[in-house]
Amino acid sequence: MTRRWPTQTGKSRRILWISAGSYNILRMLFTHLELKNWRNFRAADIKLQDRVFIIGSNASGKSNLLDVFRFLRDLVKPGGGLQHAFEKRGGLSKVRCLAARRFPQVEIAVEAVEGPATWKYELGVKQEQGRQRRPVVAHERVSLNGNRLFERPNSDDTADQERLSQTHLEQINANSEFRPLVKFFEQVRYLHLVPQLLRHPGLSPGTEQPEDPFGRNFMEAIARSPQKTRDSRLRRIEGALKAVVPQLKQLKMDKDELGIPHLEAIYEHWRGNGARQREDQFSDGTLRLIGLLWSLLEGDAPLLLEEPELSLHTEIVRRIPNILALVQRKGKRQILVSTHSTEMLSDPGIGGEEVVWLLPGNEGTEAVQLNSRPDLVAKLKSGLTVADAILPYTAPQRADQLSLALSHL
Amino acid sequence: MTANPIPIDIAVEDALSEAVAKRLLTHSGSKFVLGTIHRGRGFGYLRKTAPGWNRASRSRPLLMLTDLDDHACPLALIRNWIVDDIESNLIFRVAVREIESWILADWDGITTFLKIPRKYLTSCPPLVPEELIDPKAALIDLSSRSTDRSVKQRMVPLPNSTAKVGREYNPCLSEFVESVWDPNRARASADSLNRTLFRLADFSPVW
Repeated sequence: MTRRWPTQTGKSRRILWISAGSYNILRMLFTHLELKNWRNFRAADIKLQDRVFIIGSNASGKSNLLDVFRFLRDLVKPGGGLQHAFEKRGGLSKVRCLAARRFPQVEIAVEAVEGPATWKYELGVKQEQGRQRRPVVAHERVSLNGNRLFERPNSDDTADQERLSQTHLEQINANSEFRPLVKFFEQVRYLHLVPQLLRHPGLSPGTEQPEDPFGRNFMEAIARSPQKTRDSRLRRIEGALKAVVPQLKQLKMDKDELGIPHLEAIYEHWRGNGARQREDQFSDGTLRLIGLLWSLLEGDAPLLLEEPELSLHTEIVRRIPNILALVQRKGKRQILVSTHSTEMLSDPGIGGEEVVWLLPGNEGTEAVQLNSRPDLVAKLKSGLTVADAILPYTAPQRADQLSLALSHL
Repeated sequence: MTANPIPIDIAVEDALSEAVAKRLLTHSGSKFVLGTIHRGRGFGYLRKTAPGWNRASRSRPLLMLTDLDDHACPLALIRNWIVDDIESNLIFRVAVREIESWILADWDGITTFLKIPRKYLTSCPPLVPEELIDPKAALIDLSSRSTDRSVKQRMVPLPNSTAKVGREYNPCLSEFVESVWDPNRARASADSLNRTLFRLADFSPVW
């Protein structure tokens, strides 16, 4: 009897297919976020999908919500930690919600899921009593599938109060049991590319932010990636850019005489060889689109995008949700976007469960999930897009007063 | 003698109608040359701007394409939207019931594109796309039977989502319309499309 290898049967192909799928599922995702006294939010309880759109008027706390994930990253990144994360944000008093009253602690709880494993990390921070007034751990807990791995403050902390100035998350000795969670926090990426900084690196003060979300070192980041990866990404970006900037012929990375890396594009024009341009000559829109596409192609960790619609034409903005979905279909990467854009939210494929709507009020900002409001769900289910359903509410109520106020100047 | 191509603008409300309108113009060979595409955002955009397009079409022909949705018949919709006389350069066409009906009308094309196995097709009742109450839902239901996982991911909304369509519904169907959809195949089972094609074929602008 001849034995057939399993791979030769149709059935086994199916098995391979399933295992390829489950590999995708094994990416970790943030699924739940609870906040107390975090910046604008006196309290918030948000379920997170793999794609999240955070919307709200100006100063409603969109960036502050994304900042929670950057805070977690600051706790665990090399050179980071509790003290660093608060110093960077101007201290505990700057982070604590202005609407906070009797309850002084800042609390964060996140749930992250990786296949069958559900992690939960909870952190409460209060001000140290006495002279130093540092932010210290009020409580810290990690659990896996409901089983608590540790809880602080424990007896060691009671014996040595100094320990409370650090989280277990930031200590290699203490975090071995929940290293996957630590690695996950560390990999979170944030992008808010500012074209002006990219063109004129001298404009930005100091170098206190090594991760550089604003793109000052964006060129170096591209240059640092392995050549093969870089070339393949740049080719894909070039392909996408051509659809938008038809004159663009070639996009590549080059070094100048001083060894500083530059992006270079060849634009077709009436001369035979076209015109070479470096990134400092690119338009704001081109630069932001390159930044957006590069960060989407880079890695599979959660990505925080701050208003990706800026400087882009509405036709491109409309397609951003589709582009995100395309990236996610290939890699299951979680993407959180803050936006003002009606165009972006007019995609019919955006569900209410993906949208977190921030409503500022006297008692801080309230974070509302669209699928928790029956009136809005009814609108969405009848086929209206998120933009149609809610944008009338999100416009500043007294925007007309803006021009009135200026007319008296 | 070949006449000069007729410059024509398009006014639509969503990406899919835009793809269909463009495809209809290319289907007419070199008779038309596409001018500007006016794609407004949001529910009710066309309805609000329709009288304006009607007047604007005096200086340049315009193809306006919309869904019938809940209206009783195309004529009622047109009368409701535009009170003035309809200009002869305005080609105002209404897809019965939705633009998706026209897509489903090319049954061979769409089932091949979405990779639907034959065994599901035989179990389907003969389809009259214009009589479907919710052609979008029919299209989604069809996509959920695809053998291609990426088709399902693109077209079908996630369970428990309030979205009625998948995350890449528009790009996926626009791709179909541009590359596969055959208006000639589809016109046999969609009368409103058939009439639209006749109207485009007969059209000559009045200057």
